[in-house]
Amino acid sequence: MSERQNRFLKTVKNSAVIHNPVLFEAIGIAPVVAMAISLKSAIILSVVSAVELVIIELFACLLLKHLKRSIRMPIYAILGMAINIPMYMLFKFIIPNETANAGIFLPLLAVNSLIALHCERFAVKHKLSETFTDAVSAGASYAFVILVLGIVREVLGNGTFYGIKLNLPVKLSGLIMPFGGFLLLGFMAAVLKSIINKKYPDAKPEEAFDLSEISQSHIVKIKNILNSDFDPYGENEDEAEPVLNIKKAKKEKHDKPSNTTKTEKNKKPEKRKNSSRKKRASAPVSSDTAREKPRAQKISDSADNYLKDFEDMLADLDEYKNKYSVDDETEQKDKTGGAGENEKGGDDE
Amino acid sequence: MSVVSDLLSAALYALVLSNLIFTGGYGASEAVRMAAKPKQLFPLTMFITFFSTTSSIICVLLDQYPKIRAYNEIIHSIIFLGVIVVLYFITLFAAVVVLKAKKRTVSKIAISAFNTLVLAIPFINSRSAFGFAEAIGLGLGSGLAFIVAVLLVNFGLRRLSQNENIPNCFKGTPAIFIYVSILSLAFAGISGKGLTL
Repeated sequence: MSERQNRFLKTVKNSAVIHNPVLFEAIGIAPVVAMAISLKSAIILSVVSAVELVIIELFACLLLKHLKRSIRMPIYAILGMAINIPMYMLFKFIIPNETANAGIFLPLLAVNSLIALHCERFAVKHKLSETFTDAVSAGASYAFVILVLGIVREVLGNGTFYGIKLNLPVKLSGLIMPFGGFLLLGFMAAVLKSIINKKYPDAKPEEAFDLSEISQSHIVKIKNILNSDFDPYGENEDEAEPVLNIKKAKKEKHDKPSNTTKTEKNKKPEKRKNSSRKKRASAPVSSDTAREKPRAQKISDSADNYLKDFEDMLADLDEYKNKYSVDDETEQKDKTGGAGENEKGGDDE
Repeated sequence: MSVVSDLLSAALYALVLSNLIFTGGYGASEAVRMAAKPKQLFPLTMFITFFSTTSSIICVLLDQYPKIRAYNEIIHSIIFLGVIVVLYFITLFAAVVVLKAKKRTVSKIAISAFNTLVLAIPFINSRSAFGFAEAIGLGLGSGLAFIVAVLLVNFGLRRLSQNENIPNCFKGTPAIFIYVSILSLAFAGISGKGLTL
């Protein structure tokens, strides 16, 4: 097989099967789920969309390559409407009832995402022959999906085929509604995917629909905000300040042997836990660098104040100790007389 | 008072009673694809709400002229698309020249202007003979409906992507379609629509 034929087959396989526009790329769903409810409406929809896709893709490949994307997009819509109107009139002449039933979905085909996506992804980047192959294969696969969906929904939902009654014992009316369309699309996609998995094991149709960014959504941020404590006036900031001192105390503890009791040791992790939770809760606010500087200044000031208070407390404690130790000594002297002094001196030795 | 009630009832109709994305399928492709890449959700929904509301108001005002009202559906669709194209270029100019928006945000303007949801709003207004207040309500409601749809699909996609019990052939788009069909069924139930059209 020549290289040209290989390229042709690869384009057809990718555009029609592995990257099927409706089933794997989820584009152009609106008219499919809402309008493809019978074979006649499916024919209108498939013909109009396939013709639009081929003409606009060729036009984009020939003339729109040098324009900016923001200018090309409205041109696709205008061209779509220009092709849509004669098609609409033609079908209104051939099958007037079905065309009237199509309602607003026929003019809406002008802004079908299938056209914009294929033009932007393929037509403006490739040669005319490749663009034509892509447009025909994507258009044909889109039309095929619509026709299958239309037939299944008409037969099972309405009990008719091309308007002819089939006298089926059961009707699944729900299939005619949009949720029936979505459901059938899901099953059709699963069937095609299992065929692809068997025939082309290397192809990965699920990669056409990239789910990698889902975990990085804005919803996570919203959730974080909702889970954090509501603190519009920064009341928790003062409470969170001792965190720095606790860390300092912890360092000192490691340097010097501690005299703390077991109960105090048990209390500390809880305190730390609370303070770290508060710190975490105020994390989204502190991310703003403009607000970070004054806050850091405030924290350092209050840390100094805290240390001063702590030193004052220690001084008070020393005074208290000295006072009471002097009192104890005088009491012992009164009780034991001079013997007390001798005992103390013996202990020291 | 009636103006407010008209506005609210039209917004509720578009948002809950007949969620245009799930029960009508309008803008379903954009909603599903945006749910998978929600980083640009807020700029896109902001632009969609802007385009749907503004085009809805302008088209209702144009429909007040008896000459325009008398035109058939083909001329109406040309007028509606023309309004959206003009609005698109004004917004593009404002975003690029005046606001100097980022390239990624600017690229979203075209997607939000030219989709089935935005173009469907003037048609629904015209067919339902909605007034000015209802047109605003429908435009705002459709924007909100799009946000609701994207968020609902996004929550589902996160669960589906973590679920390892899904059979291999149902992983990815098939599971997403089936999940969307359940949501669509739920909204059809809220709207109380019968199963026969």
